[in-house]
Amino acid sequence: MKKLLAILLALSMILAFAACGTPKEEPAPVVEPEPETPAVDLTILYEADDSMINTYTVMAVNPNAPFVDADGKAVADVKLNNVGAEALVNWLLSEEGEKLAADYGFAEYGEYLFYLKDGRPVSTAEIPMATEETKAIRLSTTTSVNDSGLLGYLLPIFEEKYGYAVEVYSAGTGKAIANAKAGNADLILVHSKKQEEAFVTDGFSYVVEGLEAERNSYMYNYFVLCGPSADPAGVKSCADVKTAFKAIADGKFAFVSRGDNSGTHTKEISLWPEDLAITVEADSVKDYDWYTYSNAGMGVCLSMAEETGAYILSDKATFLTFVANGGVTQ
Amino acid sequence: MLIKAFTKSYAEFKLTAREMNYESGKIYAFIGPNGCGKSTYAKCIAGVCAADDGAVVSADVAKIGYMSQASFPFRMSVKKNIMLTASSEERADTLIDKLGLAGIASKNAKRLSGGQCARMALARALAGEFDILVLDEPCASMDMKSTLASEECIKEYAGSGHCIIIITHSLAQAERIADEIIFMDGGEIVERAYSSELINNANDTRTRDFLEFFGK
Amino acid sequence: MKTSLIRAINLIISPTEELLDILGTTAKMSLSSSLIALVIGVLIGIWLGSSKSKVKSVLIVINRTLVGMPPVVCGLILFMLFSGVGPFRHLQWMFSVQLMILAQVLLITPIVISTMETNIAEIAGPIKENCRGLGLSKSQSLKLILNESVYFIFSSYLMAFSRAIAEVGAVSMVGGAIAWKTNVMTTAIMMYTNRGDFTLGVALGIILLILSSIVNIAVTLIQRRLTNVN
Repeated sequence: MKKLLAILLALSMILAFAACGTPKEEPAPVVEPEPETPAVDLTILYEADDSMINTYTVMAVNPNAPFVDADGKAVADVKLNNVGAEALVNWLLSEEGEKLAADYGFAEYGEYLFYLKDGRPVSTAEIPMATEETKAIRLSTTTSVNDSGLLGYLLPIFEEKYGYAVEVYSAGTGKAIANAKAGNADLILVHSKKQEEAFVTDGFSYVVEGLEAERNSYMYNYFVLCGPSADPAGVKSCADVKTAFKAIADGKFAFVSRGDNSGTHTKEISLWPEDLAITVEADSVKDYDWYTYSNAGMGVCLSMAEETGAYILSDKATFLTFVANGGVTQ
Repeated sequence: MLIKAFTKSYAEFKLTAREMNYESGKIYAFIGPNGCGKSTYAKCIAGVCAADDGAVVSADVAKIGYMSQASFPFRMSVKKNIMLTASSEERADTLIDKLGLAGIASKNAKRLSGGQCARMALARALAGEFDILVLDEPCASMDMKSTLASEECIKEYAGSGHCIIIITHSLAQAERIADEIIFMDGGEIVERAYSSELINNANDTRTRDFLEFFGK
Repeated sequence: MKTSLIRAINLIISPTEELLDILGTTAKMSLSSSLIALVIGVLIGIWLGSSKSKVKSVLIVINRTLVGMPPVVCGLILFMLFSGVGPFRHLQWMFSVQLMILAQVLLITPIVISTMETNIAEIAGPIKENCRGLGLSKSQSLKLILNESVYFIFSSYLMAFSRAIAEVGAVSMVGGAIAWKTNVMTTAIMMYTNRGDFTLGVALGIILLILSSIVNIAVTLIQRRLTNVN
C-alpha cells in the first residue's frame, strides 16, 4: 500500500510540477504579466541541536536469531551470509571505511554529509576475500544512506577490493529492520536507536568478533527542520528544537510527516510536546488537520512540503541531495 | 441407409422424427415453414447436436457431412479452405472452377462477400467424401446463376454415389434437383413423396396449405 | 518537462551503465513474464472459451476476480512465501528477477486468459460446428481455433507486456529495487523521485514509453504479417 500511495503521490507531484514548469508560449499581448507562482521555498530553518543528532548504526544479523514465519512459528534454518556480513561490518568500521564516509559529500554538495562519532568502534580485523559462497551480501538499510549516494560511493570500493557483491535493499528503518527479521538481510545499517535496541533485545544481532557490542553506532549527521523561508511559526528564533515543534503545533502550521515508521518518523514523534500524544500510529493524529501523515518516502514528503508550504523534518543528507537534484527550488 | 426415429426437445420446441430410409445417389429436399424443425433435424442426423435418444444414424453409414446455415470462413485462402476436406487437389480445382471461385481462390476467405462465402462453403462441403451430406440452405444468399451452378455440382455429387439431404426454402429448387421431397411442420415429418407426386397430390392439408403459397 | 525531455534524449544517446542494467533487467522481466503468461493464458483461455460447463463457468468467475487482484497483494503473498523465513526460503528467490517474473506471471496470466476466453467463446461454437460437419478431427479443429485467434493472441500479448513493463507495486515488493540486480524502470523512477530528481524520473518515464511503443509497433507489424493471408 505504501508503495502504491507513494506512486500516486509521485505521479500527481510530477504532473503538478509539469503544469507549473511549462511556460506558456502564446505570443501574448504585452499587457498581462505571467501568473506568478507563489514563492514556496523550502529551506533548512533549524539544525545542529543535540536532540537532532541522527546516528547511524551497523549491525550484523544473527544467523541463529529466533526467526519466526508469518504465523509466528519458529524457523530454524534461515540461511544468512554472516561471513560476508562481518566482512562488510569490519570494512565500514575500518579506518579506510570510516575515512571515506567522513569525506563523502564535500565534493558534490560543498559540505560533509556524515560525521564520525567520538568513541566509535574501529575495526582492525583482517577482511577475507570473497568466495563463491560468501560473495553476495544482502544489506538492508535506510533510504537516507542510499539516496544520499553514500553507499553508491563506498560499496564499489569495497567490492572492487575484496570481490564481494553487495545487494542494497533500502527502505525506511522500520521496514529495513522488518526485512532483516524476515531473514532477507545479512546486515543492517539504520538510524533509530529504539528500534535498534529492540532488534538486539530480541536476539537478532550478535557481537562481531573483535568488536564490543551488537550496535556499532559510528557516524551521524543532523536531522533538520525545514519549512518555508518566511517561517510563519518563527522556529528560527526558538531556543531549542522542542520549542520549535511546540510553536508549529500551537500555531497549527502545516506539517508533513513521513508516517512510515522510518527513523525520521520515529525521531519526529519524539520532538512533539507530550500532551499532543502523537505516536507512530495514524490514529493519534486524526484530529490534527494541520498534520499530514503521508506514509511515503522522504523525497515525496519533501516535495509535498514544498508544494504546500509546510514544515517537515528530514535528515540533512537527503535534504541536500534532494535540493541538489532540483527537487526543491530554493 | 437408415436414420432411426428420434426426438429432440428444447425449452418450447419438440422435434419428433420418424424412422427414415435414404438411398445413395439420391437427393432429398426438406421443405416447410420457418421453425418447423428442418435445421434441428439436419443437425441431429449430422451429429452436430445430440438427439435425446443418442445415436440416430445406423451403423452402415460411415461418414456424414454437414454444411451449416452459418458457414464459417476459416482465416486462410479460399482454396485452403476447400483443401481442408478435399480428397485431392484436382477435386478442389474442379469445384473452384464449377462454382466460379477461380478468380478468388487465393483470397482470404474472411474477406468474401456473402454470396462468395456461400459458394466457398458449398465447395468445401462437396470436396469431402461423405456417405450422406446434409446441406442447410446452401444457396440462400446466392444469385440465380450461382444457384444453378451449385445445383449442378450437387447433382453431380449425388450422381457419383452420395446421398444428399438439402434443406431449402425454394420449392422451385426442390423441384429442380430433388428425387424426393419431405415436408415438415410443427416438429414433425408430415409427408414424403417423389417430387411431382408431393406437389401435385399432397395428402395432408398442412402440405397443401403450404404449397398453396407457391401457387401449386 | 522540457528539461526531462532533454535529459531523456541525452540518456538515450549516451546511456549510463546503470541505465543499461536497469533496461536489461526490465526487458528480461517483462519479456519473459509476458511470454510465459501468454503460453499458459492462451491454452487455458482456449480451453475455457471453447465450450461451457459448470466447472468452467466457476473457473471463469474466479479468473475474472484474479484479473482485479491488486499487485501489492500478489507481491505481499509472494514475499511471505519466499522471504528468508517463508516456506520456500530454500529456493533463495527473494529479491531476485525470477521472483519478479513469477509475480508478473501471476498478475498477467489472468488477463490473457480473460481476453482469450472472451474472444474464443464467440468463435468456438461456429468453428466446432463447421469442423464437425466437415468431418475434421479434434486436433484439426483446435488448430483452426488457434489459427482464428492469432489476432487475439497478439492483442493479449501486448496487453500482458504493457502491464508487466508498467507494474511497480508487486515488483518493488519482491524485487526490492536492488541496484544492479532487480532495479527496473518503474522502481528506478520511484527511487529518483525519492531523491528529488524529478526530471530524471520523467526522463526514465519517457524512455519507458518509447520502449513500450517500440515493442507495440514491432508486435503489431508481426500481427499484421501473420494475419495477412495469401
